[in-house]
Amino acid sequence: MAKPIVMPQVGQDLTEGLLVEWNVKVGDTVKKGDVIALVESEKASFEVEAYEEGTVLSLLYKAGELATVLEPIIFLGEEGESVPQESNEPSPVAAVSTAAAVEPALQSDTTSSSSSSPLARRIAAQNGLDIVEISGTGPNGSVVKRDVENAIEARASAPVVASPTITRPAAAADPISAEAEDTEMPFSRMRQVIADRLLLSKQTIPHFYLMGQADITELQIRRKAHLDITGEKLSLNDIVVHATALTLLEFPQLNALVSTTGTVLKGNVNIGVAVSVDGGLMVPAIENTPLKPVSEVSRLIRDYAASARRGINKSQAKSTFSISNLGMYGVDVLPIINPPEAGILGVGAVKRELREHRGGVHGRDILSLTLAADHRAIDGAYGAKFLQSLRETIETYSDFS
Amino acid sequence: MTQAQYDVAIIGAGPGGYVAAIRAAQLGLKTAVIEREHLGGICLNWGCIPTKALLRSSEMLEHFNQASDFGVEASPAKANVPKMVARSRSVSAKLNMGVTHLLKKNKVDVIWGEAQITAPGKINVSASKKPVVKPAHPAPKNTKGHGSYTAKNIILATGARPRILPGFEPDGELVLTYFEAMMPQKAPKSLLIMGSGAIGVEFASFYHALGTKVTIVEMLPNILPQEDSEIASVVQKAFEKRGIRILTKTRAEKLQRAKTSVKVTLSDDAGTKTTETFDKVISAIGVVPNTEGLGLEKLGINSDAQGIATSKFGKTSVDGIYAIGDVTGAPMLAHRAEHQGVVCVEAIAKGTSHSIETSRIPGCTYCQPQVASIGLTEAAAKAAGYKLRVGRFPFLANGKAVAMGDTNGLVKTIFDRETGELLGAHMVGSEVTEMIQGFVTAIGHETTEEHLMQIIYPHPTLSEAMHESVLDAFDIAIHS
Repeated sequence: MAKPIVMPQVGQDLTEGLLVEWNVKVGDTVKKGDVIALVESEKASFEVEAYEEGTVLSLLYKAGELATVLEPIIFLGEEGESVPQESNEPSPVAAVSTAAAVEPALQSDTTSSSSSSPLARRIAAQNGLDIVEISGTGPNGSVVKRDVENAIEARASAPVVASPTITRPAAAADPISAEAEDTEMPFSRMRQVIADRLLLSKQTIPHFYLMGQADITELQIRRKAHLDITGEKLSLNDIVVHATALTLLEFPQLNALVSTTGTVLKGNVNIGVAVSVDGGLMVPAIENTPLKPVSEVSRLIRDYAASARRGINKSQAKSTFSISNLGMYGVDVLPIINPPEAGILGVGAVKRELREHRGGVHGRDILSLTLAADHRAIDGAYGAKFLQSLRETIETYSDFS
Repeated sequence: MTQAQYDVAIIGAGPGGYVAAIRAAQLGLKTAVIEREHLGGICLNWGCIPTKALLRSSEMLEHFNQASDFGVEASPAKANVPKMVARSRSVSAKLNMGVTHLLKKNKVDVIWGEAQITAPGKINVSASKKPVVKPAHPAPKNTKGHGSYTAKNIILATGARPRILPGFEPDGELVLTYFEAMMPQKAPKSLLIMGSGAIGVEFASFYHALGTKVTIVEMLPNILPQEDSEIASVVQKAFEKRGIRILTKTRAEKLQRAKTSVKVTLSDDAGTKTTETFDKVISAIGVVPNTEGLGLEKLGINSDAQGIATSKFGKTSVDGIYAIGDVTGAPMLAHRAEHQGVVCVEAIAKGTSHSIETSRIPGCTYCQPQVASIGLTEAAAKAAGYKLRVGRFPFLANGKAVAMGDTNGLVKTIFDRETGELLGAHMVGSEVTEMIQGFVTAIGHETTEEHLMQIIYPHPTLSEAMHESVLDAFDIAIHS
């Protein structure tokens, strides 16, 4: 059967690329890895390698034409074979086997969207979010309420490094001669502080990383029940912050400030919560985190995060251990220590996974956790015990009062 | 391994199963549906559809008897019960044939018999052990027979059956389930209906119209316990005004069967017991999922009294086996089953589909007055911690309702005070089961109060009460 080779995705958000020249013609034999064509985006040119082999049956574009990305540009096959006229998509039946094997729980049909629901727009506006920057999971990728709520939760507990906003370059009138302009961006004061501190951290602190997982299926049920009973909404992040603080009470070496000559074990546990703000990040600290009820911790996180986004650090406390949560983006995180602290916890995505549980196989909610620690102050086994203990604290967490 | 015969085999041809089968065929999957009794399931043969036919008859009877109020003189109308039943059965037969044609047109194989999954991908079909409810519609022609079949994906869509209270086992004569209750030979003089969900109140409306003295017992404080209590109380008052007796916080404890009547001991929540005699009893205390005999335990599929546990696209705990509809638990509604079927099959064929939000599934009850709702009740919204704005608009102030002489109705809308989200809409009155779709669309598109206020409702319609209810939630209703 004739096999297509498609136009590569030559740049983010790019829908077309220019086919500059063909290296093959109809009737040529092509091996895997052969460079068959040169294509060009607004920014760069690329060689297209064959990932199939066979005889060239047809070239779908002439040199100098624009080709749609991820659509076929060439068909390979047996000599004399005919080229499919219509779509070369696998038939639905062929797709069945893979579909059955992979539970499509994590939807991949999230697309950047142009539409949004009125309710989504209003909630976004009320929370100071730009609807355009939220990716949608509604019909045709439109932004709906749950997307905005996820974005709000994402922002409440933000990344160590702020994600740059990728915007699509303005389309040039003439794609061949267009040269996109470079932009110089001097560091803002906040950016400079971030740059200096994190450079210091990476250069002077021997980081080591430990990764663990917590099964939060039951916790999610308790959290929901708490919401149903009291109407009080606690985010998973609120609970992880509180559970980490409680666990640190038993691991004083991780609740410490490290210098080149020694360690100061801090009396209070003040958890710093990384908050993504415009152009950078801030890490307001919750004073005496383990001694506060989780509802108070939750309220403070929201309050501090809201202030941080207006450029104000409302927290008076100095953090003794930090947490960076990027789970809402569906990723796991290897965070950089916020110096001079001894460690930082990276909170990753919650994934629905099939696990053995009570003699059967069940879908379970699995949270991934990464500890980055300063090897000068603590050793692997100590960190591992902390992560093990934290996992238990999170899994059995029921301290909602 | 040899090629499986089918891409998808669906066990059960109710509204979930047959719709899933047609969608699967549309997507190019080789599809079979296995059915032991009737295409269209309970909904079409013994549920939603035939009861709507009966209620149409009883409403027509009531209309005739109110005709003189409208300036139409007619001699008193009376019920021809066997003819009502015959019409109801023929409506069901017609739609049953329709499903046969639809499946044939879409080249879905129909396998006739009872299915058991012997291993993932393997199904054994044998003679049904369940006694057929008579009169049965004839089995479709050209079905495949008993034997072993293989399928890459199996969808369980086996539905549910009436829940039986020990001591109140149905006997088909004195103690009835919905099966027998929709085929009366004549109207009984007195009738006890246990349970006041949709099935209970619909039969109460029907039998009361035929002249039967109807008593409803409900354990909970309100009838229609799933509905907003304010809406339920409108129904309760309308029922009581017509002479239907309603005993809430009361349970039927004991039953003694005589030759042509039963004695039932009723106990209220204070423990007071009374024993009363009824000609018949209808047991309508809910339904239970059909999970037995399918081989689920052996396969290790998680299920309990609430039904089979599934992921959002219907996947069970075993690869390649899915479940949809009533067998997956509440809310047990035909339109939910249909939609689950479509989503499940799309996920099988394409790897993904859209998720179903349970809070956005509407429900309709066809008693008189009708009830229709979507989303949270006021009590549930409060319990969830929302600060609310609640709008109410009675049919009494709606021009069309007054013209129709049908002013017993209410539209209630519940908004989140902070975001303007329409959290719930609850309606009682004439035609509300057709009107609710307006709010369903609004909630589905996540419109806020602003849009609902700005769109124009045609005049004169009952739907104007929906507009006014939204306005009332923000204290700007025009006609109140």
